[in-house]
Order: sequence, then C-alpha cells, then structure tokens
Amino acid sequence: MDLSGVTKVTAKAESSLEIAKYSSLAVPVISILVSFMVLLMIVWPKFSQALQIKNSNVELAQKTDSLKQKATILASLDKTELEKQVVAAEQLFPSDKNVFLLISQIEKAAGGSGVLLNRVETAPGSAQGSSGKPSANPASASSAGAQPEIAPNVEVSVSLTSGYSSLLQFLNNVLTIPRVVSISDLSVSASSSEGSSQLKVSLNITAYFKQMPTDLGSIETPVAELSDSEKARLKQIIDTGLAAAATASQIEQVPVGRADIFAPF
Amino acid sequence: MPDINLVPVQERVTERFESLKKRLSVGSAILLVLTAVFTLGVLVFFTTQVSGRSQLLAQVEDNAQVINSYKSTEELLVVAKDKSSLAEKVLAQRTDYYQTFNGFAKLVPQGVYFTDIKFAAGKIVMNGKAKSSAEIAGLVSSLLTPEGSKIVSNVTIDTLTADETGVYTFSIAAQATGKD
Repeated sequence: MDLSGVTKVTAKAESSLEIAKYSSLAVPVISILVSFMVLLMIVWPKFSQALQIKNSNVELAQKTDSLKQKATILASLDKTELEKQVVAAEQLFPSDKNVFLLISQIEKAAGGSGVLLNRVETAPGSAQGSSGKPSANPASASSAGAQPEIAPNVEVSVSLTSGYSSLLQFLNNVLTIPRVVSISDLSVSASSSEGSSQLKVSLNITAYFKQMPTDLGSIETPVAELSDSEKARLKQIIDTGLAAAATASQIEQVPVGRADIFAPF
Repeated sequence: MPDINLVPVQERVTERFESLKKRLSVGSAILLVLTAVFTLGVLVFFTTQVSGRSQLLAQVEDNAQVINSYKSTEELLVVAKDKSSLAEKVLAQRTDYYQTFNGFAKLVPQGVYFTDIKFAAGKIVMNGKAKSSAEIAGLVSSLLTPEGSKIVSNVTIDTLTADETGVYTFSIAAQATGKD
C-alpha cells in the first residue's frame, strides 16, 4: 500500500498547523514593534524638542525678569531730575576739550585767590575738538596726565607766584571748579631772596572730556543707576546753581573788528 | 521505547509555546499602555512648554514696549551715568594737594622750613632747612607716624648737611601715599 500521499497530506496539515500556531504571535510582536517605532520616531524626538523648549524658556524667563527689572527702574526715574543731572554731568565731564573755558576757570581761580599767574601754557591740538567733534589728534588731547587711561584730556601748564595761603586757596579753587581736573607735577619753591615769603609754583592741570555716548545698546542691556556718591556729586553741582554754572561755562564775548590789525592794543 | 515519551514532550512544547504567547501578549499590552502613557505625558509636557514660551514671549514683548516708551529717560540716565562714573574715577585717583599741604603743616616742626617741594610721578622730594638735627629728627618721626603715613611712605633722607651756623640743609624723598 502506498502511503506517500497520506504522508504528504499530513506534512501539509502539520505545516498549516505550524503557521496557524505562529501567526497567533504576530499580533503581540507587531504591537511591540509598533510601540517601539512610536517611541523612537515620535515620542523621543518630541520629548527632545520639549526639553529644548524648556531650556530656551529658562533663558527667556531670565530675559523677561531682566527686562521687567529694567522697565521698573526706568519707570521709577524722575525725568526732570535726570535732565538736571545730565546738565550737571556735562559740567563735570564736558563732551569736548573746551580749553578756553578751562583757562578762563583757571584765571578765575587765580583771581579769587590772589596768586599771580606768570605763565599759562597748553597745546590743545585740533580746534575742532573743542567744538564737540572728535579730536583730530587724540595723542595731543591725551598726551600726558595722571590718568590718561580714564578719558581723553587736555593739559595746561601753569607757573605762578604767590604767598603760601594764596597758593592753598588757589589749589582749593582749582580742585573745586565744576569740571573734573587733576593736578600733577606740582613744584613749589621759596623765592631765593632771604626773608621773602613768596613762592614760585609750577603745576600741570589736567582736565578731562568725553563725548556723549551715542549708542544705547540692545534693549536687554541692563540699566545702571547712579550710585549714591554720583548722585551726591551731581546734586552738589545742581545746588550750587546750574544757571550760574551755565553762565560760567560760556566764554566771555569780546567786541570784534579792527581798522589796523597790526596796531598794538 | 522512545515513543512512550513523545506525548509529554509535545505537551511541554505546546505548554512552553502557550506560555511564550501569553508573556508576549502581556508584554505587548504593557508596552502599548506605557507607550500611550509616555506619548500622552510628552504631549502634555510639550504643550505646557510651548504655552509657557508663548506667555514668556508675550511678556518680553510687553516689557520691550514699556522700555521703549522710556527710551528718552534711558538716554538721559546713560549719559549721566557714563560721565559721572568717569568723574568719580578721576576724583578717586587725584591727589588733593590742598589737603596734602594742610597735612604737612600739622607735621612740620617749628624749627623746620622747606625751600622747595616737588611732586612728580608719585614721588615727593622735599628740600629745606632746620635749626638743628633734632628738628629734622622730629620731622622724620612725624612723617613716620600714622598721620604722616597718610601723606607719604618710604621716607628717605637723601642729604643732610650743616653749615658753620649750625643750620641743617636737608633733602628728603618719599613716596606719595595712595593717589596719583
């Protein structure tokens, strides 16, 4: 009897059974694969993106806080008071060399203290620099001085003769002019004649200037408030009379026009 | 004889397969649930962050508008601060010679006077005369006191000579303390 047909049928049936048996695993396997695909291709990228947004939100929150702080500070400022402070600051630290005003202030300091000015010498350089434009030769503007690194400056060498108390008064007058100046290379010698109380003095007076800032910077730049000492110094200038200071900050007007420009005055 | 064990082996294989199938089903169900939970969680997290970002951007915009409305005030403040901070720096560094001379006046003995004093590059050179050596000693010790140290330091007597009248001529060098 040939049983090969039966064997084939049995094998086929067994194969079908195997397929049916393993196909029942397809659903869980496919669902596992789908889960992994969802996790890898959708959930993880979105999670990374969310983390990036979170980090950027932290920075954004800091930016918001600093902007809020800046807005609060700006809102609390008195604009009228600030305008006065700017005028005072300009007296304190002018935007240009203003060398003629400086000489005028030195002359007034000398006149007010009773010293005799023997010589006033300066090399201010470009005349345009004294009208508010940038100095054509910065080296001449900041050639020397005690603090050349702080700001451009103009130096005036002064020689004078005076008594001791007048010298002290002159030094005090110079150091209390509204504009910021410093004194360097001070040399004081008693007059050679015996019994004379006259002193021969030479000194350099360095006056500083700086142009007004032209750029506010970005909106995120933190705003720096005036310190108490800065406020006090500006208030001192305001209290001593801005109007008087403004008058003093103008060079005296002189009549113009001569028939013979070589005739001695 | 080996046929005797065929049935239990087959049963065991079937059992193992059923167990595997059951574990796979449970595992896949758990994984699906976890995936759903994670997806939901990430979605909520993402939505929260995006919403927070929108709010922050709106706040930045609002604050920027407020700051822009105070631009003229800011300009004034920047100018005042720029100039007065520089002025403070200069004033903090400069030497107040008026105070220096007043300080000297308190320290110099009665029998001493100066013929010249030079201040340059942080150094002070003082030349003068004294009635006696004791007066110079008094001057030097005054300069070395705490009060004198506020004005000068590193005091050096460069020359000291007496003439036939007993008057001493001296030259003293020192470092100006602190500023300039």
